[in-house]
Amino acid sequence: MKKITVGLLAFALALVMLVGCGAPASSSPAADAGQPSSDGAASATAEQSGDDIELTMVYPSDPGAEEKFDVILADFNKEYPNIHVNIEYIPFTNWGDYITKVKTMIAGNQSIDVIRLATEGVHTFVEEGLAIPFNSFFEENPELLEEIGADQIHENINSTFEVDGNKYGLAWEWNNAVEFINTDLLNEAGLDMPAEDWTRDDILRYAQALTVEKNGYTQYGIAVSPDFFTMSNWIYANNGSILNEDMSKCVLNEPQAVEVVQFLYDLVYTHKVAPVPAGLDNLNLFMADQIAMISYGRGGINALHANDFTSYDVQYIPGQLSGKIAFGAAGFVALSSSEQQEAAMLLASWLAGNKASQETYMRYDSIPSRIDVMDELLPSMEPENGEIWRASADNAVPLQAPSIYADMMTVFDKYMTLIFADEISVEEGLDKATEEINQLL
Amino acid sequence: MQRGPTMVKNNEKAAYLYIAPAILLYLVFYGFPIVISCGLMFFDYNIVSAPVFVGLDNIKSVFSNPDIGTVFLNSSKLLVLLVFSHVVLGLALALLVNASGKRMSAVMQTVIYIPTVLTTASVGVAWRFMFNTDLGAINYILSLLGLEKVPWLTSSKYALFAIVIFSIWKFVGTPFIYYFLGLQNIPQSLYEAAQIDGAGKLQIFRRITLPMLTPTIFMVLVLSFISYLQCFDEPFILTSGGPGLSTTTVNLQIYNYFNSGKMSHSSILSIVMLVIVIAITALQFKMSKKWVNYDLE
Repeated sequence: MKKITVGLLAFALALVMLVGCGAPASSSPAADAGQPSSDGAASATAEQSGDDIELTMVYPSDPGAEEKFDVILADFNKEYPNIHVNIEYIPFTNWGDYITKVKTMIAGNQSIDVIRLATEGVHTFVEEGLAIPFNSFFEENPELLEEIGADQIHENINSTFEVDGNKYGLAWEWNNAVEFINTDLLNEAGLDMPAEDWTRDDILRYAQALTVEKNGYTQYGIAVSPDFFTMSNWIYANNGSILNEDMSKCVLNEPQAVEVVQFLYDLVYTHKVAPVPAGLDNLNLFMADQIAMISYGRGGINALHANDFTSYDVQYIPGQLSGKIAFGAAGFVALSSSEQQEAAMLLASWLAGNKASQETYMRYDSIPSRIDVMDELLPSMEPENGEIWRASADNAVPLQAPSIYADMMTVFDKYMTLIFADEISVEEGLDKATEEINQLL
Repeated sequence: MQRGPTMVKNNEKAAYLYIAPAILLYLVFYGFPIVISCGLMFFDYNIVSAPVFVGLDNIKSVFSNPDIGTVFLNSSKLLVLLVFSHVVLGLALALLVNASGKRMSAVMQTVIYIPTVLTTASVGVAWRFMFNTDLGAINYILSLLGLEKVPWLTSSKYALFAIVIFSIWKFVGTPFIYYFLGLQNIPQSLYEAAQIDGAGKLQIFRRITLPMLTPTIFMVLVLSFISYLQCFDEPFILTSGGPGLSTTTVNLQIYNYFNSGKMSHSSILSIVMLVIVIAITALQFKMSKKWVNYDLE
């Protein structure tokens, strides 16, 4: 009898645990895909109503993110004391994993109002009806836009958040890839900083001069990064593209793209001025004087600054000055599952446009989206030639990231790794990649 | 006190009640998802929209993918290489450590087992750098020995071997510990009797050690098969499945489908793997009757 009683108690405990593990009762994701659930004109704004509002925002758990947002949200609450923001920080490895995690949270009926989102995820969220357009909100709140200085956000950079004529948020920060150059190694080789209009022949000449045998190891002149972001920058600089303008067709096997990929392949296998690109941490090798030039985003200066590494400068990737410059931007998007969409859009807009946060937290980070902050920060900060980031905003074209981005990446990486493993020719690899990506489109 | 039928029945009821929480948890966290996955095979589902019934379309899509054969072949190759290497090397290390002195044995046990407890992701990043063709430590050592550099991670020929090398370093500690404990449990009296009878070392190993270790070997085999059939961590961290698809395993493909929002495709491959694991495990148990010796005396 005692055994049965104890057994029953254990069974009951297990049931209680299971019930406790169940999802909290909340409404299901908004039925109207991609549409704000309330009429902006009819409902009171979050500010006017004065009612306490709780919002949940999802943000990647980057180092220092919590401290950063404690300060930023304290500023936000000075203007909007009735809006309380809880941030859920989630581990970030890449945008694909982050987007999957957020979608899993939404599917699990977790209440999320605002998320940080980048170019890589905007089309996916729009096409799946997860993000709401801000058009009505912007039209009905011009004073808010003026207050946050939305007109200062660079038009090109903001275009990331515009899909089919609708605006899904504002850009907070952005990045392209430029060439980081180790100035100590440059001086050792007796070279001057290259001019902004340098060509691929020039960069090859520099790489050859900077590739030397030193104390039993090879110092390489340049690193090749066959990832989508960096390759897009090189291809765009040659006036090529990955997809056509309306993203309905892959054009990776067109001459402008083939020419650039062949050039990068030759750096590794023909001229032997770049190491085979697998398993390398280019930034650390750059700081260790093992690679003299790397293609990287401004976000890299965070690590350089943290390690007191100042012997570097930046220059355009050859062709960027006259060609296009690929970029990715990040901002804040309000979700269609939010029960406080007005407040969510207000928070998202405020965060993106906030001048103080850009001035403070983008000193050693991504490029700020505001023109006034770019004009103020970039010329005055390391590296010396940092103003190219400001100038490059004027030629910037968003990275092409359709809703099939994850599948497209798998195909792109598959053939790029084969090309740079020297197991397939550049032409054959790009032809096959084009064919498979076209099947996905 | 004799047990009557009522007492036995009560004991049985109590037993079922005791295991009921575990069964309930298993059903909820394993059984129910398996059933749902079986159902999801026939629907298009991206987790944020309602599932849409598509019949056999997704199953046809998965198995008509020209890459699916390569993916299964990769998993099979890794399975054979990893199971063989872990089973054999684990035993070899256990025999070596068992034969050494007490102090040396403690040191060696620690050295062999430590990698097992380290985070795979963090050591994997380090090994990825060590394997680099031009700047990695392994090729640097090979060059000092006058050997050619090996394109460990950038060659379809070598990438699988790079994964096996890393996996052996990282995970051989587990079979090693099982074997070591198994060796410790073999009664010394058997070895003493064999020595008295004049048996040599090889005879002792073949006639006493191996037969007495068969339950442990069987356990290591079963666990290794189940584990390495679902190999994910090593290719994910070292090669991301490349170059090309040369190290993409079935579990990595399941992950890729999940990240693309193709829950149905993930479910299909997951169920296929479940069936394969069950079939192989059942076969192993059936065949074990012929060679596993549970008689300890």
